Formats: sequence, structure tokens, C-alpha cells
Amino acid sequence: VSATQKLLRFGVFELNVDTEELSKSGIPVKLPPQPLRLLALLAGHASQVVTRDQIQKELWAGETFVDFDHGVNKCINQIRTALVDNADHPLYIETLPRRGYRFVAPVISKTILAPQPKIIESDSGERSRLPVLIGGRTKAATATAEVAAASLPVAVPDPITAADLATEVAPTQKARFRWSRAHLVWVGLAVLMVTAVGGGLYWRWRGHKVPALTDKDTVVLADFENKTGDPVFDDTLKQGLTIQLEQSPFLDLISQGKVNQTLKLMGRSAADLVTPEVAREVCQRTGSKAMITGLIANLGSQYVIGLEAVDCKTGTFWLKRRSRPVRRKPCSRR
Amino acid sequence: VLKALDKTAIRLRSKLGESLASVQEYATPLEEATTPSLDALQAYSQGAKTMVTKGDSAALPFFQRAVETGSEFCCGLRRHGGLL
Repeated sequence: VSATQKLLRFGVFELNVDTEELSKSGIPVKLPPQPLRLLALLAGHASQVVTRDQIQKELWAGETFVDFDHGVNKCINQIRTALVDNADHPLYIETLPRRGYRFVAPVISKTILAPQPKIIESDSGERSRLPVLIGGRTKAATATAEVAAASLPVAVPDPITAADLATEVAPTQKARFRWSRAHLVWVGLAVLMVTAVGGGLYWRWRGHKVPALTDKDTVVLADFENKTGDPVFDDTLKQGLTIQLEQSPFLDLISQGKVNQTLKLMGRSAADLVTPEVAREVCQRTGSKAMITGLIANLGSQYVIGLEAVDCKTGTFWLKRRSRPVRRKPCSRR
Repeated sequence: VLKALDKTAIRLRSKLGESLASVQEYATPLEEATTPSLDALQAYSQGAKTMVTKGDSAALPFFQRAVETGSEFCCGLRRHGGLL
């Protein structure tokens, strides 16, 4: 078992001959084993001609290969694709017709220490092995680690927890897990937001949904609240609203006579203002379903009229309607 | 103001459950159903209120004024014609 590994560096590429790994600027580049071995052979003989016979002996030795030429060409093509090399203007591999190939780029060779495998004590009391995964190792490195672990067990001084194990064994999986968790958190937040917005809209819709009256329901009309200071609106707008609502064959307004009777029962005079509070009591006493209140107010130089329908039992608003601002003008009194 | 009251009241009617057909059929504008004069409508309202609280004779001047102010005051004439 070799304790060292041989690296060949050319351009932005690094080839680990022992682990059969190719990387570009530290990022692994995928290349099948056979082209990798051919690349190692060529780069290991940089600036020298490597003949096709030599290649056949080194890489296809002892094998019956019926179409060697085709196999080599295919490997070279795969290597060139991985290195982004061009056969016509080669940066790395030059083709020498009918002879072989030459690695033309300068190659720096370096030998490094192979990473030490970690061995921990398993729960069962047996030694167990961890694959060496520093920097994304290959089966060769794993094999090295396994052999080293099997033959030269090294006790780990600090106890390793399951969390440590997970951290060291599968960094890629951990990254995926992290992404997955973050992704789930975002999805969860999105679902919560959608639910909240949907719930809010539904609540608002419910809040604005008016329980429809039936033709058997009766309605009480409160006096208009006149906030304009102009006495012309006193009683006038309620009278107008009464006339408008009485046209409806659907709405059944409690008559003024019945309202007066109820006011007497309440210890009030018929001349008393029917405020929203009084109207609600009248509404409840007469078994009515709803009451309608009105308001006129100044809005700058304009008037605004508002009408509200209120549930007599609960006092909650069913709906509010407001008119467009109406310009104040003397002729409006006409 | 009466037009604004009309429109708002009609919207309220439809929202309270009245059918659109009914609202369209039975929604004579106040100015046509009563009078375009706020003063006339006010006099009429006061008359109606006074009639309930103080009796017909006390209400009569208000109805008279309503009709004088708004000669086209059909409701006043129709409802309280007996008084005039």
C-alpha cells in the first residue's frame, strides 16, 4: 500500500494518478477509468511521443481487443472533451498520424502523502472503518483506507459521536440535507404565508358577507345623524330614505306608529330621537332582524351620506354604504 | 343630496337581499316620487312627525308649506290630501 500519491498538474487541471481523479481548478471532472489511465500515461510522458503500440501494451495488455484503434480514438476524444482541447490546435494532446500521441503542455509532477484513514470503535466493540472522504475521495483512496484500516488500526483519541460521523462520512449528503432543510423551511413559510393571506381574505369576505334578509324579516329605521349643522337635513333625509325603502316589495319597514308605540313601552316620547342605540332596542322589542342607520356629514365643501345595516341581536355591522361626495350648492335646497 | 341618498339607498337594498329586478322596477327617484326641494321634503317630514305627536291640526301648516314649496309634491297630496 502506497503512503504517497502522485499528482500531475497541467494548466488548470490536476490529475491524481493513484486515485485516478481529474479536477479542473479544484472541481472534479468526470472521465471514465480507461481514458483517465490513458491521460495519466500521456501526461506522465509529457513532450514525448507515446506510440499506439505502447498504449496498447500499457492499457490493453493481455486483453483481446478486436478494435483497438477505435478504442484509443474514443478515449482520446473523451480526454479532449474533458480538457476542452482541440485536435487541430492542441493545447494538451497532439496527434501524430500513424505513430501515436504527444502531451504538449508542460506538466508539473508532485508527490503528496496519502490521507490517513480514520478508524473508530464501533458500538459492537469491533473496529469499523470510515472511508476517507477528504475532498471527495475515490474508490482507490477508499481501498487504501480500507487496507490501512484492516492492517494498521489506529485508535482515535477522541470519541466520535454520531453527529461527527455524519459530518465526516457524507459532506455531500450533508450539503444536500442542509439545502433540503432550508428548502423545506422556505416551503413551509410560503405555505404559512399563503394560508395567512387566504385566511385573511376569507375572514374579510366573511366579514363583508351580508346575511340576506327574507321577506318575513322586518327592519327598523333609525333617525339620520346630521353632522352638517344644517337643519334642513333634520328628519328630511330619514323621510326620503323611508320613501325610497318603502317602494321595495321586499323590505318590510316597521311603521312609525309601531315605533312610537314601542318608544312609549320603553318610557320614551314619540318625539324622542331614534338614535342607533334606541333603534336597536326598538328593533329587538319588535322582533326585527336589522336596523338601518344613516349619517350625513361635511367633507370639505361637500356632503357625504352614509348608510349602515346592523344586526339587532349582535350589534354587528352587516354592511356600510357611503355616497359619493355631493357638492354643497344653494340650489340643492330647491 | 336627494340623488345621492337615492343611489346609496338603492345599493343598500340590493345588498340586503332584494333582487336586482325588483330594485330596478321599484326605485322611483325621490325627486320624482316626492319633490326635488329639500325644504318641501323637510316641511313634509315635520308635518308627518307633528301629526303623530301633536295631532292633525298641528301638522296642517307643515303640509301646506310642503305643497307650497314643492308644487309637485305628490306624496304629500296623496297621503295627506284629506288634511289639505
